[in-house]
Amino acid sequence: MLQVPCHCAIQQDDDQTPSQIEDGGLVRQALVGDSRSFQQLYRRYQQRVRSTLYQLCGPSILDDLVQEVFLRAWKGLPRLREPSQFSTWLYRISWNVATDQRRKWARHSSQEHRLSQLNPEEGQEPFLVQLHYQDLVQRSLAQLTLQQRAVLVLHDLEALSQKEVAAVLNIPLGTVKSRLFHARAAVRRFLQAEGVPL
Amino acid sequence: MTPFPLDNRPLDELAAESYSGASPGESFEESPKQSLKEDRELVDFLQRYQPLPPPPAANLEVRILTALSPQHTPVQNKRSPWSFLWMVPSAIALGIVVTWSAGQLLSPSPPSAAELVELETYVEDSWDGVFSPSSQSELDAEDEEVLLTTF
Repeated sequence: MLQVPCHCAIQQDDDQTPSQIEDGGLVRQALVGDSRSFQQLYRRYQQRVRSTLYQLCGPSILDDLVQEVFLRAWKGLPRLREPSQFSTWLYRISWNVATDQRRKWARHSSQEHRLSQLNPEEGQEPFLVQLHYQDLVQRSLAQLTLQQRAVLVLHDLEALSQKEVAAVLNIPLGTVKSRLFHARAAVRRFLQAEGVPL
Repeated sequence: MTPFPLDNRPLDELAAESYSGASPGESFEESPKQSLKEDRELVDFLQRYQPLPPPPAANLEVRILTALSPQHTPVQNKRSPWSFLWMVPSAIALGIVVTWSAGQLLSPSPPSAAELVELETYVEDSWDGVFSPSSQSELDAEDEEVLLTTF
């Protein structure tokens, strides 16, 4: 069991393990300094945060970005008005962290280099076709604007609703629909041009 | 692998979400159902072949949770300068109470009947003494004494 510094921890209800507590309950407990509740939230969402950041920023400093997201979330918890909306709020922080990072990269003119660094999963023996398709998907996403890519990743890969995407990116619902339409069209064109039968 | 591992919403719901409220400038050349089928295939493909992020560092969770230092607890950050506003009315009320109490303690108590009689007697004696001859002669004597010492 991982030992975590726990400040002012609240005793958990015996009938309710942390994994059964809803986001809102965990957020409220974290607000009084219970880092174990926040640990539970981390375990619940780190993979989704990681995946989103990976699609938006690539693999080069992924761990640092994930850490930044959860530290911002921890410090910003008191400003979260609706604890039940934690996941949407966390995606929004991820989006902010991703855009901040891309601005830094843009200043150093190494963005495309970093995005092109794709490390296939180690320890697996993937099929050649699967690797090829993964490469195509990565390249098709990379050719989108960041705004279009964010909508496509959140909606099509992370399965957020369009309303949630609008809330995360702080844009009108119509803009989400428009960006999704154009992003899908661009990705489809790219994949078809590469010979994928879609 | 399931066709849509992350999105289990019904097709009708997806269709409604995808095509209701589209911006006026957009034209959907194909029928919604045709486009929806193609979108389904595309999303299926993207989900199936999306590049997976590399696994996190072994100590990432510990690193993050250790960084949640006590000085950065949400509770402490929650206190804003405005949270001390409740002290203003409390301070005003306390000031009023202290002022009233001090007034009660420092104000003189009403004189007793004996003191009033004594005071009245003193005033009468003083008033009478102003016009008494003895007093006048005493004053004249004092004046002469002052004049003699002066010259």
